[in-house]
Amino acid sequence: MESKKRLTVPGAINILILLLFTFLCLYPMWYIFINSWSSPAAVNRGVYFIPLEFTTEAYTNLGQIPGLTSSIFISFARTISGTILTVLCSSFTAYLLADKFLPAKKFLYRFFIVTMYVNAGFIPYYLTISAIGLRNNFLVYILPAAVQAYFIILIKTYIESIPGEMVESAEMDGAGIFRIYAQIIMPLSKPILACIVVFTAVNQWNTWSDDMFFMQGRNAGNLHCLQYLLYQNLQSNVVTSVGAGAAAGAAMKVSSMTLRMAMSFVTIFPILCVYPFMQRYFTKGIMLGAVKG
Amino acid sequence: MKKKLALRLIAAALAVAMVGSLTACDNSGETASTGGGASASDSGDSGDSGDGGEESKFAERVALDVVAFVGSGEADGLRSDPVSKYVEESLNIDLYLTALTEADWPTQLAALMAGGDLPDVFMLSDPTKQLPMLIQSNSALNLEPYLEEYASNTLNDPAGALMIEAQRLPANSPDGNMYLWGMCKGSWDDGTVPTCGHYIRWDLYKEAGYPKLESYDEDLLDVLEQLVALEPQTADGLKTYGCGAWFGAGQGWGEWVFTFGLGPQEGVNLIETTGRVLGVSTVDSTPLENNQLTDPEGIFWRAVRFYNKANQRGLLDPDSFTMTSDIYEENLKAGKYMFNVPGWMSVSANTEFNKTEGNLKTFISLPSLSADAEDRFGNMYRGERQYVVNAQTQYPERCVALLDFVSTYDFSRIAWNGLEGTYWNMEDGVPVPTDEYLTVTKDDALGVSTGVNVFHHFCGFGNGTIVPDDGVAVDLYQFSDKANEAKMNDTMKDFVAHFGQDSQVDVYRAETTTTNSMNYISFGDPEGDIGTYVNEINAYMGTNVVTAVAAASDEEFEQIRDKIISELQNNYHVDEVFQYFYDEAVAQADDVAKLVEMNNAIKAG
Amino acid sequence: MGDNAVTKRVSRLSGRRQKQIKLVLFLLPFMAMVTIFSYIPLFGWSYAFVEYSPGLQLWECEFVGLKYFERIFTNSADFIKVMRNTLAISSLNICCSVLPAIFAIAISQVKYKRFAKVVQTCTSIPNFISWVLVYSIVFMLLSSENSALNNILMGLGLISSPVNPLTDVDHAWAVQVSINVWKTLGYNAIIYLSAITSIDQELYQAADVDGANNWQKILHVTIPGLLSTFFVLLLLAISNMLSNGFDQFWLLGTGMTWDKLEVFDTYVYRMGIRNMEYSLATAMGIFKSVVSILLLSFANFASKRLRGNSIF
Repeated sequence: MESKKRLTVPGAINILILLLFTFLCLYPMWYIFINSWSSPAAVNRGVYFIPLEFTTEAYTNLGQIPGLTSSIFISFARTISGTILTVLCSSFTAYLLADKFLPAKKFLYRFFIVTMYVNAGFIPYYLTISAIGLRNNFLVYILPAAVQAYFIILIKTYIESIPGEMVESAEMDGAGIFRIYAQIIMPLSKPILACIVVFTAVNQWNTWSDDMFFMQGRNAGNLHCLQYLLYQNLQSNVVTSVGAGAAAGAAMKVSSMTLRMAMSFVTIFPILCVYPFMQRYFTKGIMLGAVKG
Repeated sequence: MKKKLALRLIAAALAVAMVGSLTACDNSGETASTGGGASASDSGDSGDSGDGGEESKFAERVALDVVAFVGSGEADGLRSDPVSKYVEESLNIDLYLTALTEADWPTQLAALMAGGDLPDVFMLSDPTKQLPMLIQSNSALNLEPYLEEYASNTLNDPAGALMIEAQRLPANSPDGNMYLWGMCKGSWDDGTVPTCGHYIRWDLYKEAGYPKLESYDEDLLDVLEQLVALEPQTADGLKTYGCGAWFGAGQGWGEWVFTFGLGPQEGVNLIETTGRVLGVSTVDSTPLENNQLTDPEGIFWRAVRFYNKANQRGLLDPDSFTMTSDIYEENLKAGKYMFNVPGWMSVSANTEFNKTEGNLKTFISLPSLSADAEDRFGNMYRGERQYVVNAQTQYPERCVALLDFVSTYDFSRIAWNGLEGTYWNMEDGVPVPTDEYLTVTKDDALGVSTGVNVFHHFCGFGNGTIVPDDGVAVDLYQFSDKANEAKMNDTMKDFVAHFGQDSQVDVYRAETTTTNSMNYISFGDPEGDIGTYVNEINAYMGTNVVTAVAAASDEEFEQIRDKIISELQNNYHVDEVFQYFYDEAVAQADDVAKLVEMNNAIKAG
Repeated sequence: MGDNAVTKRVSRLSGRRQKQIKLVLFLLPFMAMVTIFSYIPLFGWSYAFVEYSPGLQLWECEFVGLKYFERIFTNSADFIKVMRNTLAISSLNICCSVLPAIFAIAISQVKYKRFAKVVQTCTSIPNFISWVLVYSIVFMLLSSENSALNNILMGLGLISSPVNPLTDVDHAWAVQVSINVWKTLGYNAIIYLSAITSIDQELYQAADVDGANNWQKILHVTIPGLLSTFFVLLLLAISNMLSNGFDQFWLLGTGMTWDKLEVFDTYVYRMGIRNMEYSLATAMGIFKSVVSILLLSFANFASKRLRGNSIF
């Protein structure tokens, strides 16, 4: 039976509301975009529709940040490798935890979940990372994030909804743990894995706090990521001729709003480019007659 | 299928490994090139210790890790600008500079301290709290053994000797030895653009006919109302206001106008490390008798009341409650306010106004409105930026030599203006800026090509300090004769003439009896629970004082104010804290007298 | 024959044993990673019981027992206010947590697939905008005297004086929760979208056969299909009630609204970390961990009672 393409009233209202909310979400992005091409004075007055007093000042300023190119490379590297590692590790762990034969299943599951709630602060974490030699090392970006409880929970819940018959029939055929994982679980879990890919990739792209703590001094070399450089630039970009008096305390160095907006746009744009490619995995139904198949 | 997947996984793993090893290679490459120097013996001064220049003392090239408040035009590490090269060549070192960000440095410092990974020389953003931690864990180097041999420049300079003496006082040292090295002594300006001042639009004041302006509490708001009436809109059509503030900027920074809005202009410093309960007179360095946080007529509450009255009369920009300081500065530059307190923003606004041909709009600092004293001619005797040498450093002598080298008047001039010959030249023993210099914009890009302002907070003196040898301020860009002439527009000339003087500085000296800052009282880490009480008081004030500004009537204001005061007294131990710091201040009288004496020697000689 | 049956049973048993061992062995490396990065740093909890100063070894610090835990509660008026704010805002957010699910259903109902994709992409954008920028946007578009919102409302004559959402104390919670919903709705809907796509299409076809209309299909097929995901996320949200995120409230809170917007995370930062009082900050962290785990256990137990199976 074909679904008719006729537009019903509830359908129309649905589309209208979605349209409204989409506008609410899209306009701020446009606002950021046009403001990043306007002069600070115009921004202060209010720029709402198109750039006023067009200037490339903010972007040329960004382009002059020292170490920019290598940081972009590092950010891409950590996003790609980190995402792959996290998806593989977290999904495999989730699969193991979902297996009904796992002994002490509840305990082991909780072993992972509790990690979400326990955090002793950054000093002990810093000391641990330092002790295992991950300081000034690229791996500090991706190893700690490889096994994440939140993703394990999501994937495990998803796996448990896969009909058990599929796994059992594979076992009858003599498939081992790894083969079932690779050939059955992974392909069927594409929607949730796509979710995880998006979440992890965005996280890796945006994180700078690990850079700040663990990449120190001259041995950090070229290991800084883009976000950290932008964050530093945000703190420091001010005309230095006015001899800022220290009596003013911290946080005196602030950058103009246009610069912040340009930075934001540069950060968000790559995400939006890659995003649609992941979309098809969680907008199309795949479980069609899976049991029979 | 399995093969494909396996292959993909292997490829992924290889990619990770490749990237990891590539970047690791990068690092080992860098460290290897400097590792050779580091592995040699560490007594680099075994050679001649004669009185030759630094070059002859240090035969061996070493690498030093320095975290400082420096310009960020280049990535952390070796710098390529001429001034950095000059430092490196003079001292025979590889100088790896990291520019710190003040907001994050405390947490980074704590982590580095815990892990024992401190750099060779680094800045303390909050010496009161951080120095005791460093000393407890033996991370701060006692500088005494190295002073005589490696810090001769500073020892022989009266201002340097004063700084060293101050660092030995109990407030700054647990045992009378020097641990802290202060940079940026002297002053940030020549007295005409103090960091905390009462700046008004003199052009409009003149147009209004110089109305009576003799009191902060009474007259100032009336005058501002008249000024707003003269210019109700900016050139872009924005509504103008008497004044504004940035209360929206997080807890602490948003209260800046209360802490510094009235005190320095009446000769009182509210000491922040005491939670602002203690005020010190800058006339004779004695503590005020009243608890400044609980005295309704003290400078703190008078400042709060000023902003409340301004709000009631519609003279305070309502956005003040939600603005951050960068928005405030943009508004100031757009001409939205008639009155301003932070000096650096006034300079920035004037620069913006001057972009128009024939501009008359100028913010000028007023002499003290009603008091007999003001904290105008700054005296950062201890240095405004405190640096420490890592006790575990391999090269303590080189570190001290570095600190000494950058602390000279000569280097300060280079730090603020670049090397001689680029933007300035000596003419008959007087340094003169080139015309080109006065037109540049001092930003990070300029720092990369010329080294200007890279070391501006890692040098001996602030830019307004007068160099004794030639009588000219350090920063020729802002304070040389040429620069002053350029600033002399009609509005400024009118200001000077109005007070019957010949120069701006003369006006201030003539109008107020005491204009030189003299505050030598400082406090170290408080004992016992006092430190906790101070934190709690600050936290309480941060979340409550702005509501007083929003009060709709005088009665409501007084209600809120009294409630806050009684809350402080009953639950926050504010009187106990005051007594503690007051007694500490009184106990410093002898040390203060010694410092005053040394300061007089500087002024005489 | 009898032997065969026994042998078969025995070999099946040892086969299960084998599998169990294999599973645990495979799991070990991941447990090790988690131990290193999450459990080993917990030695730092000891800082809460001593006068900790960075750089000192643990045994060099003076032992003070529960002093810092007491300090959390001594300033009870402050602390109660902070907890009230935190729990109120979290509760409101939890109430709104059903919105992403509804939104996902709404998107999946749209017949024009390309439109649905565009909507989904665009509504995820606010999640990528940092809170610093959100502050700028809220200030310029909604809050400033000269903002777009005020210009429009005053221009239309709907209000006589400008509104300022950022200084409105009475509606502070509603404002912050609304902003948070705007920021996270599209992104959080992704999980539900993926759950919807995993619902067996045959169920829909069966419903069609039974003559169900659209609403009934949603009610009886889609929603049950989302229920398990929803409950997992709900339980997680309940256990995270003490975490509201630092940035939002630090940046969007103003002097007028701190009373309502000071939450636990900003409290810890203000009282502990900013003043370099790490013992206090650690004590607060322990408090938060303990309460969160208790909340999770309680929620899990309630879920077991209500739905018959415990999720964790």
